[in-house]
Amino acid sequence: MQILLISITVINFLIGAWLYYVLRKSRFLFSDRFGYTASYFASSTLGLVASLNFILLFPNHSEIVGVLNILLGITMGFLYGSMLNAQTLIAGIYNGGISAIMGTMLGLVVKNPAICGLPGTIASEQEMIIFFALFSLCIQGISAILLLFSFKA
Amino acid sequence: MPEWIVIFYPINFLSAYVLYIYLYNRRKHIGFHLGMNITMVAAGGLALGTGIIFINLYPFYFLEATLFSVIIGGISGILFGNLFDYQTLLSGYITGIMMGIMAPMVGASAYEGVMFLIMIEIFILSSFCIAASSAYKT
Repeated sequence: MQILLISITVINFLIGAWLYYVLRKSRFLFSDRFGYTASYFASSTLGLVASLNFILLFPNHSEIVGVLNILLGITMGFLYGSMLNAQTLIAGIYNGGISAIMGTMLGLVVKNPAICGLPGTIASEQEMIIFFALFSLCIQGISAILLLFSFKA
Repeated sequence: MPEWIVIFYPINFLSAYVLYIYLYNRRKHIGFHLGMNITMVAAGGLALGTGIIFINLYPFYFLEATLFSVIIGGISGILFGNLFDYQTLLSGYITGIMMGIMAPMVGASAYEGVMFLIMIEIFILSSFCIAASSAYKT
């Protein structure tokens, strides 16, 4: 199962890097408003998906991985937001951090549902981990398709 | 947790439908910024309302609750955002997904009493009313 999680992490990062390359190639054609929306969208999805994958990979060191996730989310936001002007930079950094925090929280609840006050789940732990890994792949794929479709319009 | 909180499901969906019809007739006269704010309120509110009711009715089904909330949030974000512009669609979709992920965890903390749920529902319905009244022009 570790192989499945590692491969899903690599695929998500590859999709994120491809999205960064496509956005960077045509960044001078953006208006202010589209730059804000694009950096908000891209840094939010990549922060959520990457932090969820890392927490599922390393469940025993959750404190250190949580700190690294927030730094990773801020870095992704900085990369996506430094394309146009200060407004996209602020939007990217803030939303990257917020979505990294939310992904960490989701990963921790998957491992141990008693954190939130839930009495337990009927599905076993293995099923939950596999389901959330595939779920993150679907979210990243659909978000990439929606953002790329906006270039045609 | 009492069983009559199922009544909030059709109340939420009917309020969102009425808001959609109300905005559909006025969509040409609403500017972009107001449109983005209305979409975020509508999509986030509907996803939050769905998630907290589901996790309190079936506490052992966290997986299905998260899946249902995220799907409802994403679809409602896309539908409300499609009224205005393509970038509003993107904003609504992301807000719907984020609130759908957060909603079961918020709802699980209401496990002791039912007053917290009723207060959240009053908040969501009044934010729908504020969003409708902000688009009140002739």
